[in-house]
Amino acid sequence: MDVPQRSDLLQRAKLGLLSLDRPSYHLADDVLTEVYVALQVSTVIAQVHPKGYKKRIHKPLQEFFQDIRLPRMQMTDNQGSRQSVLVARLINDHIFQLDDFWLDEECMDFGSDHTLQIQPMGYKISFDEFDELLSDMDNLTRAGSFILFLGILWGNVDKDEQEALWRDCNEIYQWDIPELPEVRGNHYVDITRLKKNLKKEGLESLALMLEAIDGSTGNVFYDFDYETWMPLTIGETDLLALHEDWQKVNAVKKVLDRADDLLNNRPDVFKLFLGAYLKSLRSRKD
Amino acid sequence: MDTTYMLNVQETGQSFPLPATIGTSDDLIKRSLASVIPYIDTAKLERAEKDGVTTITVTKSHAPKGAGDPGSAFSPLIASLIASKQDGTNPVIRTFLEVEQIRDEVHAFQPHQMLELKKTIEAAFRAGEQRHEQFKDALQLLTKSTAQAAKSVPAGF
Repeated sequence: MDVPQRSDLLQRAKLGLLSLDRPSYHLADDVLTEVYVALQVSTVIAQVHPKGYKKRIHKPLQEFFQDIRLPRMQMTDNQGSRQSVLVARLINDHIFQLDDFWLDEECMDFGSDHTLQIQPMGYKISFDEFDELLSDMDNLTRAGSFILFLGILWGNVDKDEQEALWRDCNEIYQWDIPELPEVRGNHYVDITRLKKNLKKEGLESLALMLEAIDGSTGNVFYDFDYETWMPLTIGETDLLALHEDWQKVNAVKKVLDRADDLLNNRPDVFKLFLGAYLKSLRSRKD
Repeated sequence: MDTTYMLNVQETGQSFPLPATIGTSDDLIKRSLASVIPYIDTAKLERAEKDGVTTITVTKSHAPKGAGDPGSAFSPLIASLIASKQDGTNPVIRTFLEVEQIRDEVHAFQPHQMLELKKTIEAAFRAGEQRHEQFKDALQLLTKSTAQAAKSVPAGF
């Protein structure tokens, strides 16, 4: 018997012996769930990168299947399953970006939890975060003050504090709008009209900035809110939809960078935006 | 004339009389003497009559434990289990073992092979969960059942 034959025989014998050692139902269920997820992620990678998918999945999958018999959860370093770490890396490197914290410090465990932790792009803020901004006004840029500007217009500040806050902001960030404007009640912003009105002033990027702060861009990476949204899961539909949105993230970011630049540098930008905004309001009865 | 009943234990050579109320029935003999002759439930009882004396000879049977009694209510179940082509492994565990056998090949799979394996795993999850629930139900039923003393101690104990 030559060396390769001997090695093959030993390998077969090893596998045969392993099959005698039956795993518990729960271990088999968890491991098989992770295998299923790994296959799901791999087939999605093959769909979105049809030409180079083999190169992308070959090594991680090889590593994934190497130790499926070992206890899944790592007791040192990052707590979690080493197989799930590999799957998370595959998603992050080839489908869309995941939350750094869940990649580097806390590991996802797809054997028992199919939730995906994405990396939101950080414009949308909660009420609590809005309050934090109010207490840290000195460190805000002029562009950052746009969140306060909209927050006051949207009524996120108590009525008796609105006027004073507006005046303070106007002075600090040079909005050039000394008095709090009157915004009609029971109205909504017609975003199409707002875009048109802003375009006339070369400020159309601000409409997208408003949507990003509101969480209504239509792109999950800008709109996702862990507090109010249903969790994203690792199903094929979610993976493909997230990849589609991830591909648009750079284009959205470019527009938002332009808006940021305008808000920081153009002196009349707040005044012009307010004019366009007030003209875009529609009565809810319309 | 009343019949006299004598019990002859072949293994020890002992003989002793039995009351007629017991001696008439093999079943009554087995139940009454289970604590005296531990193997009597599976033993062979043979009757011989001579001069108004019925001698019942008890011969120890060497039937296998548990399934030795062909008249047992469990016999058909045991026979069907022996005849079953399946080995009773939960489909999830069986699929895990199958995946383990091909673990060095999966990384080189074509997408259609991956989809095929995904389908196999999905089917295993469906069947396996059902089987696992049935297993849990059966276990719960057995755990909740009232304990009953066996009619006899299985041979070998």
